[in-house]
Amino acid sequence: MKPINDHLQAEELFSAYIDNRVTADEKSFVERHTAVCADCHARLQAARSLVAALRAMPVVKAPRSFVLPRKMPREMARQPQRSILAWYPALRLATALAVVAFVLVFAGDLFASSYGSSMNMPPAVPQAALMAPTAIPAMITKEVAVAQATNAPTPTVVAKLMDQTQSADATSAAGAQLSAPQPASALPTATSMLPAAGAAPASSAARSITSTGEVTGARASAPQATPTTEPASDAATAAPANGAAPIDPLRLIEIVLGGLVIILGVATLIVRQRAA
Amino acid sequence: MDENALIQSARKGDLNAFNTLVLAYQHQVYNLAYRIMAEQAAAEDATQDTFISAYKNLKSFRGGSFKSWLLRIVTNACYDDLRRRKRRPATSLDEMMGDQEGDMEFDVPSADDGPETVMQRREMIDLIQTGITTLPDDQRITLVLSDVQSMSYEEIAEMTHTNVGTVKSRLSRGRARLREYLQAHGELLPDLYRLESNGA
Ligand SMILES: [Zn+2]
Repeated sequence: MKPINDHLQAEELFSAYIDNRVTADEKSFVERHTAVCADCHARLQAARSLVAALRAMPVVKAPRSFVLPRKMPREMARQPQRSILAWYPALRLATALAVVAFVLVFAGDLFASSYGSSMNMPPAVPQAALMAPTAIPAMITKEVAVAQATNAPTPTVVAKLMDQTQSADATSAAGAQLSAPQPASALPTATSMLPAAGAAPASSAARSITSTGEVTGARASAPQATPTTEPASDAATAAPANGAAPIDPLRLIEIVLGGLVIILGVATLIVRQRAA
Repeated sequence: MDENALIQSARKGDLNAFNTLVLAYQHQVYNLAYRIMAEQAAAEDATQDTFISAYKNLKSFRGGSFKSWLLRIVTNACYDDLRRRKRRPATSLDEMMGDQEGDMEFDVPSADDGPETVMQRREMIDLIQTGITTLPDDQRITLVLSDVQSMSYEEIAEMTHTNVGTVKSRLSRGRARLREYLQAHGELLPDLYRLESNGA
């Protein structure tokens, strides 16, 4: 039996030995050792076989032609792909954060509403929740419109607005089936409230509503905001909403976060698709 | 038309001349990319990037072997891609499934003791290809350049911006590691011996 060092030293030389890249001394060392050591002899044979197998690997033909077109399409340079890819980690993180924030706020809201009295809950809210599958997309588009239209709305105004749109959505959806109308207590409709959010405080806007549901006070300072939810608003005007709701900023935050989660989620998915 | 004339024309913006060169070398460029990346889509991307980059940088080609120049570009493209993947270790589902399929395929022992079939040879090639992807990037690229592409230590050293000694040790470690992988994945060595004795 040879000392273990000899085996290691021989094995280290196999690769170069096969390629004939060893010195005369190394060459004779490998040959002397493999002549007396069956293990190393087998290992050298295996190494040889592997190299032979690698050399025998067939040439894989290109599956298509790589001829360059006369006008190179932009995506051939693969620049856009890379820039989109660069956004992916940030987007994923933002989505995750938005989800966490949404869950936290929602849990907090659940806790608060079970803790608080029924006075805090506007009657429209349970309806809105029931209508969630249809109402949520509309609410999100409204939210986006509001977010774009108002630079710095006071939380109270926007919160009120959101309650209005929620109840409006709920009642308009429910109104078609339920003959029992909601108590019309001289409250602003979704149509009137949307432009008002831009500048006028909710209370003054509400006060200046005419019987036709038009806003007079808010018109002067009316922002360019054009609600993108025409059908919902129309329906809401027909069925006056019950919006005697107290301000609930939590609900607004939930909706904003919910919308954010959806938008970020979709964006993340798109980027991932493109990156793949 | 000889290669140098084509290169000269391509330099002056003759796309047809350049595309003649593309047609002449695309299989070799793609083959190298495929053997390193072990994935069709990645190999296609590397090949396409190589020819676009070659066309754009034709002025920096200082003579010598045009083929070597192309192979150097595609090797760098593969290096970059492997590095990018490391930064984004969450591989796509497809890639992970692909790897698993590869492993499972070879865990099935072949009950057939008959002569080497096309299928066995196919499986062996796939197993080697999968084994190559388990090597560290430097060993992986050095081994493919040496044993698949039959390049000399000197050529590889130049192509991978290192010295001959480093090439030697990377190759030695890469081969030893690949051999261990193959031994751990079934009765392959008889096939290897047969292949060698067949002179394939
Ligand atoms: Zn030994």
